[in-house]
Amino acid sequence: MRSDADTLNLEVTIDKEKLRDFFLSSVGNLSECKQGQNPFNEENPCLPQGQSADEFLDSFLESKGLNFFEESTVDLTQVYGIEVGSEQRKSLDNLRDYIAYYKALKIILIVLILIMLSLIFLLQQPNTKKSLRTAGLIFIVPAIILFFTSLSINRVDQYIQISDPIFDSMIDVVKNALSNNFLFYSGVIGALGVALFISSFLIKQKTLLIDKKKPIKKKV
Amino acid sequence: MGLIKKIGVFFLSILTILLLILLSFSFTLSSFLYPQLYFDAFEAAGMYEYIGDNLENAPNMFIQIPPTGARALLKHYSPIFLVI
Repeated sequence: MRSDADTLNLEVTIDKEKLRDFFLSSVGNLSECKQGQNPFNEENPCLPQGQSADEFLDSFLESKGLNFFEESTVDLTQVYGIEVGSEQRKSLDNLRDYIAYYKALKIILIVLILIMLSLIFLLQQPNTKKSLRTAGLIFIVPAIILFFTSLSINRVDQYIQISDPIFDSMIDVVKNALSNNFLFYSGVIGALGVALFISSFLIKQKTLLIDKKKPIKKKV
Repeated sequence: MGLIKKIGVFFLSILTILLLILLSFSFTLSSFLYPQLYFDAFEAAGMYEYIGDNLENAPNMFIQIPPTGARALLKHYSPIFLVI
């Protein structure tokens, strides 16, 4: 993904001299035109008699309406057929829409988690200690799962044999990045879980204190 | 009522755990959407040197290579291979 940029800029600076040399060498391989032969025929072009390769190249490009040498940049979106309005561009934009949904999904997930935690908290009221302990466990369990996921990613290369050293190094970097990310989230979620769990032992249960102050009514 | 509450808390807890795992996975996999991961992988694998050598020797290479080399070229034109 081109980060968060909305515009697709595929303009490249071309080496005009190299490009011209390439075309000139191609023109140099052409045979001289026979009588009645069209030099601008795309299938079978030929070099008109008395014309140099330079002159013919200019006239050929002019006849086709191509202007490679007027500008030093080329927009590759046109070369690859992904310019604005094209079918392929629409497909790419559709794919980008899915990525936007994926980004929105993360926000939705955070909101859902907060709603779930609030519901758990409400269901376990007035026992705040219990609510904190449950919330702590809810955070600790995924932290453990993410920790083992991180470890298992590091061991993936035991099962996959890659013979190409370049590709192997690239896979290593990707694998380490994923593993470190999982380890980071495991640490953050785990720390939060432990903090919630410990706080459940530290806070005083208000309901119990209130109950103790009230005289106990005996049923007759 | 107490049992229903407990069952409710149990299912909500399971759901929250799954959502937390899903959220962590989605945050982690997001790194694939940004070029930095690919640049790091290229750096570690020596791809810049490999591509640089090949670009310089390629006969039909018309894209101008900046004086800073293939690294700058690839970083500048990263949208080409991250076209989405």
